[in-house]
Amino acid sequence: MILEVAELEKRFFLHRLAREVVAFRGLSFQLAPGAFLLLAGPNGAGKSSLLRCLYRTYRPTAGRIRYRSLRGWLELAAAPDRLVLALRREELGYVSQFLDPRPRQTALEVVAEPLLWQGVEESVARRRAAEMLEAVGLRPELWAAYPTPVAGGARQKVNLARSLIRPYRLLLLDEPSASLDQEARAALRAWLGRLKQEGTAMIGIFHHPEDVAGLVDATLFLEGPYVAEPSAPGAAG
Amino acid sequence: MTSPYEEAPLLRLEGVRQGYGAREVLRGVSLELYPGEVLGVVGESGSGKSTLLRVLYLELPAEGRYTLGQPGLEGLNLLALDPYRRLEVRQRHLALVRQHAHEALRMGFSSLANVAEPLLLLGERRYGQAATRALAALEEADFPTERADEPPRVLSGGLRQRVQLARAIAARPAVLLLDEPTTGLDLLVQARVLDTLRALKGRLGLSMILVSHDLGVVRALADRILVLLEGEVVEAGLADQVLEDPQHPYTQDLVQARL
Amino acid sequence: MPRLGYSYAFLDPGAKRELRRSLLKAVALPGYQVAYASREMPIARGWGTGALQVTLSLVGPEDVVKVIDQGADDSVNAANLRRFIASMSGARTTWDTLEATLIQSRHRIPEERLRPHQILILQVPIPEPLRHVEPSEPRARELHALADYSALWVGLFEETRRFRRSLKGAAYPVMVHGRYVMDPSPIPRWDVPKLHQAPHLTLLAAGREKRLYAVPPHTEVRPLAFQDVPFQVERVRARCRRTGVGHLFLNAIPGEGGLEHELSDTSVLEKLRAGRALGETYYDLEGRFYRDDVPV
Repeated sequence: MILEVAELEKRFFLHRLAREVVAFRGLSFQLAPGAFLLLAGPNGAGKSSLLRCLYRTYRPTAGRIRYRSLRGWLELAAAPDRLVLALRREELGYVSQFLDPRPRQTALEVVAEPLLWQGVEESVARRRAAEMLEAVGLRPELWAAYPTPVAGGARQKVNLARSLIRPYRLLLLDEPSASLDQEARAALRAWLGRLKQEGTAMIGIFHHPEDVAGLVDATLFLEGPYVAEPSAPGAAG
Repeated sequence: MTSPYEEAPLLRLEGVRQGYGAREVLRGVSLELYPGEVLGVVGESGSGKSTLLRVLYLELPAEGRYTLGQPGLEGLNLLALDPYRRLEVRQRHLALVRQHAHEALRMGFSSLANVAEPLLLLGERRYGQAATRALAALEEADFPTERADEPPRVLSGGLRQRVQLARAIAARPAVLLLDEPTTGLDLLVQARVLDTLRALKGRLGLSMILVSHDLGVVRALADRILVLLEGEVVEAGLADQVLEDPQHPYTQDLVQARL
Repeated sequence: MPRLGYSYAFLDPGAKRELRRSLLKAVALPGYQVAYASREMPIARGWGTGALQVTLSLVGPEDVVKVIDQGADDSVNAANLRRFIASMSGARTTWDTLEATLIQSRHRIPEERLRPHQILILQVPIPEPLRHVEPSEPRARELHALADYSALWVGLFEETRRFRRSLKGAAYPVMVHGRYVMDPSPIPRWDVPKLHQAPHLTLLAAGREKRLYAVPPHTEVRPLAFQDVPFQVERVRARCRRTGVGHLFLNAIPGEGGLEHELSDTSVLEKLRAGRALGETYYDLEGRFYRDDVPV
């Protein structure tokens, strides 16, 4: 196993509204290296919140997240910030739906940046960034453009290339294929397949089953939202 | 939680208090800064942000413990040092970029001389070396070096900040302190200074403490964020965590106030 | 005989005691500006009252006093001070540098090398070397206390950048004993090396500013300079119109055919004209300084 989640729960307390929202609760599952877990459920069921809890963008309210890092088993739910930062740098990946707008950087620079942070030499980083952009199928004339004003699909390709340029042990995928065209989705599918072969464990949200056809080892169905106080639409989605 | 993660902090504050009674500005602030990371400090005006930074810069006396994990300073409480040693520690290990460049720069001297000053202060006695290193620092701060001989007096706000930045990094301080470094600049200029800071973070692996009321600036740079309210730390965590899953009512309000 | 009706050497005993105490403190802290109670003197402030008080507090009947004003023994000001000191103390006076025990000087150090038993007393207009970079006196004192002389170095850097050298002609700042930066009074750069490891005692006093300071014998005195842009003294390609000497400090004087030059040090000038032997000088005939560890 690489991940053992037990009785995980996330609640949001909205002070201003004096209301508590439960994103999910009582979640338990396990994941082996190279395994692919698909998260399913209606909008607002807490799928994204779960990914964010695992990435520690959200603080889990209760439960345990045992993660086997390169350095042994860790309790992610209570890990100190420094440790989480180190894990994110070295083994934990998160691919979001959107590219965090990174203005005034060309697509190539955006993609190469994670490598530069790791100390990879600039010329090497740029070459690998170019390879990556080619793999996700971004038209070369856009490589030197700022990604912000270009079309959503192209921007998401840049995002993917940036997210997948380095290896991870555990990859969290939050609808990465949402705004991609057919060709790019196929490329992504192939890429994820390769990562799976290499032993990367993955947890993902995908709305089109064909995007992950043949990859999924298990599906976790989330039902939420659970609203504790006066009923309200889920704040977790 | 094996050894590689248990690196010692570069800088540590423990229970730091500043001011007295009802005028107490810092009410027991503790924080840690680790090598290569950027710590953002947010809070409204009057929360004690700037005071905190001035204490960190050893410019204001305060109670509590302040240690730097630097050779020769291990276990030494910097707040208890005599003024002479304090100045020495500041000159050798710390640099501060202030909101108002004119408080930090000699406006009548050339930009290059301003940048060379910390080098001269640390005992560089070769003019050629000082000039070369100052020019290199200006370049790192994306300052147009053909204007290096102009005094900050005749430069725009954005360029002045770049001179400050170059001056701050010239002697490679252990910790770079930034006090609202982009506040008061035009949006576009602000963005460019931010780009430079981000590039510096990546290229030089500088450890920084960034104080700003602008969450956008903090978001763009910080690895971790500390929320200060009336001189107390009410929340601390990973940058994305504090901004997307704020726990404290004040932080929730602050994040909500963003747009 | 000293003049009657006044305290010996003009100053009352209390004033002398206070001055000597301040001088001892100054000697103990080379380069440090000691505050003292500058007295009213029968000459105007700014005309050498500080150095005059120091001279009067030290002079005795066996002393031989020399007073020079920019090298000249024969200027009105030098002559007046010399006569005043002599009439108040009964001390003998001289023009000859080698003969003097006390030398009060404005803006020059004699060309003949001073010896251990001699005391040089320099008149100082502005004792604070940080004055032009830090106008606040308390703040300047603080900078001295912290040995923070970055402002001076930045100024030097700036001049080097723009003019490839320091523009400072007189009053070139020096670091004394590796601790305090001192204004050596407006002596030309030519004279600055003479202070380094000098066998004699140098006292500096500013009457108007009420500060005195000292360079004890055998003290390190280094001009502030970059290693790769060394300190240099003035070089004039000219000769003295009266003696033909070209290796000592010359004054430029407007003459019929433009600028003419003349030896600044009248003691040396008179000796050469009278055909008398000079004592050892700081600079040799090639203009080399007598100590090779001193850059000039």
